[in-house]
Amino acid sequence: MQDLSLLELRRSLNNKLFSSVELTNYYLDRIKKHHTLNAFITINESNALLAAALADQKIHKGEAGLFTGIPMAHKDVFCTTECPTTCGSKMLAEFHSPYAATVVKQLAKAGFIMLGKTNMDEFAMGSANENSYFGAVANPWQLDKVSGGSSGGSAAAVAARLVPFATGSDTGGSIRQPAAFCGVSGIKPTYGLVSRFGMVAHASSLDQAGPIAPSAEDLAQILQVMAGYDELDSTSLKRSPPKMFINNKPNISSLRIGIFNPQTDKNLDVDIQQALTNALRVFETAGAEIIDLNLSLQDLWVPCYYILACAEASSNLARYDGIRYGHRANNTHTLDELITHSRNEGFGMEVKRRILTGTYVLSSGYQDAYFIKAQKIRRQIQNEFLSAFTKVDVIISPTTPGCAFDKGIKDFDAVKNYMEDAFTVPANLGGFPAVSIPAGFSTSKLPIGMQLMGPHFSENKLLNIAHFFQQQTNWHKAIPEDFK
Amino acid sequence: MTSTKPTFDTIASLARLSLNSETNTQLAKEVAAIMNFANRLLNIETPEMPLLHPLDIHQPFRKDISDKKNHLQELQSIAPVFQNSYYLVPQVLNTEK
Repeated sequence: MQDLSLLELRRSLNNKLFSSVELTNYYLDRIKKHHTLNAFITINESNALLAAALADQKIHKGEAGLFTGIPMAHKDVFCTTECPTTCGSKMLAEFHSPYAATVVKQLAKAGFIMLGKTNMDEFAMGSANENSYFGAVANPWQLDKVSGGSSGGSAAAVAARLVPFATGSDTGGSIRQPAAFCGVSGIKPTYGLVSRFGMVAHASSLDQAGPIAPSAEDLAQILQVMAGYDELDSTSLKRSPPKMFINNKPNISSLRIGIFNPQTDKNLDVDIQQALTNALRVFETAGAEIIDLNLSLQDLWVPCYYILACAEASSNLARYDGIRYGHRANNTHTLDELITHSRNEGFGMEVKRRILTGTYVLSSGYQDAYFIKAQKIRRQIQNEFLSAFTKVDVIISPTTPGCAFDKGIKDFDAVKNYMEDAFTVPANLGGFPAVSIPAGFSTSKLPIGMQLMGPHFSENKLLNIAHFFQQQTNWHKAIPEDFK
Repeated sequence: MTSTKPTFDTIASLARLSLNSETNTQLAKEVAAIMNFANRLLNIETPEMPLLHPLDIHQPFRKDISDKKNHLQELQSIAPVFQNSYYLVPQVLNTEK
């Protein structure tokens, strides 16, 4: 069952090879068996089995939709009414949302069954999933390595085939980077394509929701359900989402692929360089043209991103004050103590670090120098990419400078950690769509991810290019030995 | 950013975080390192460059019509301390010192 695509699951359910209840139980058993991955914060067993039973009734009557009865999981950043929404934080450890996110409702309406909420870096801040209040997530390929973050639980769950797919959120690479580290596929759509209503905000002008699944073909089908205008989200685009149609014979011969030389401070792993060279050869063999791009603002991407993301996060997280919801400190004597102690107790170190940085760059006397400057540079970065997209159809790069690193590294260096996002942040800065797909393995047998980034609303093209690559290679089909 | 205590304390106060001495020192050092990294933006020329939001749209407004829904029960269900339609907090005025 674990090797089946969404379409194959649909056919099997329709042909009664197994029922939705059997399928749901199968995945629930796998989740429990592999609990040491720590991919899940909450398991939604009884509700899931109830939903599966109802799905079986629909299937029996011939009323099943394309996704009726197929299990999945949500990153714990999406508000759900069936189980808590923790954002991987002590601040929301016992928070039960009174409403469900639009994305949650859309996927439920399509017939998907939620098995649980996946682990994540606290408030989506992190690139290793080691910042969760609920503990780190292990990489299914090597358990002493990180899964990546912040959607580490979702990526690990899909890689270990604990679920057919899971949702994630991406502010600076939080879908793509863990997808790369765990050897699965993940897409960050164009900003505004998928509703953010009910997705707990990290940095509102950078956040986007998207799916993580084994293949580009699955991503296309899921994204078609997730995308679309939502009047509850003021940043939702009022336009029909692009049709996601996977062409089994995509035309690569006229494709123009842009590549660029990474700046030296990115410390690109040699295995990743080689994997990318090999991947480009696959496209060249099919007739694609490789074009060198000069992206001169590269060394500004990460600092620009972190100024803006921290500024927006400091504003978004101001709502957590121990008064209306979330963690509340005990034994406080003044209002100020209540607020400051609740926040101090509720937030982890990385969240505090980013709130403080964001507060600093927004403070009087510094806002012009940092925040306003960064917003202007953001436009310069976007312009550079828009210009590049007049010359190329897609920009291909590594997703990450290195492969999954060891868990529990003791010498903390925030800037070094932030450089993990070196290749992913421009897509968020410019609002561009970008997908990460498996492109090989390192000599130490860790997955390598390749990123494809395109102009706004080019999701269909990106996914078809990714699908072509996945027809020529089998990297996306690999499953870690312990999870076969 | 210099790591002089008052400046960092001001920032922590604005952020509504109460940090103990050890955490204060550690975070001051780490935030200084981040800002040092970010300082590479300071000298970049941005002549008459407008700011960027990823969407080129105006803020949409909903119709000024009440939905007439009472959300009291929902709000109460998630509030830490709630009584008679009020969130309870430590007294602010007329407290004896």
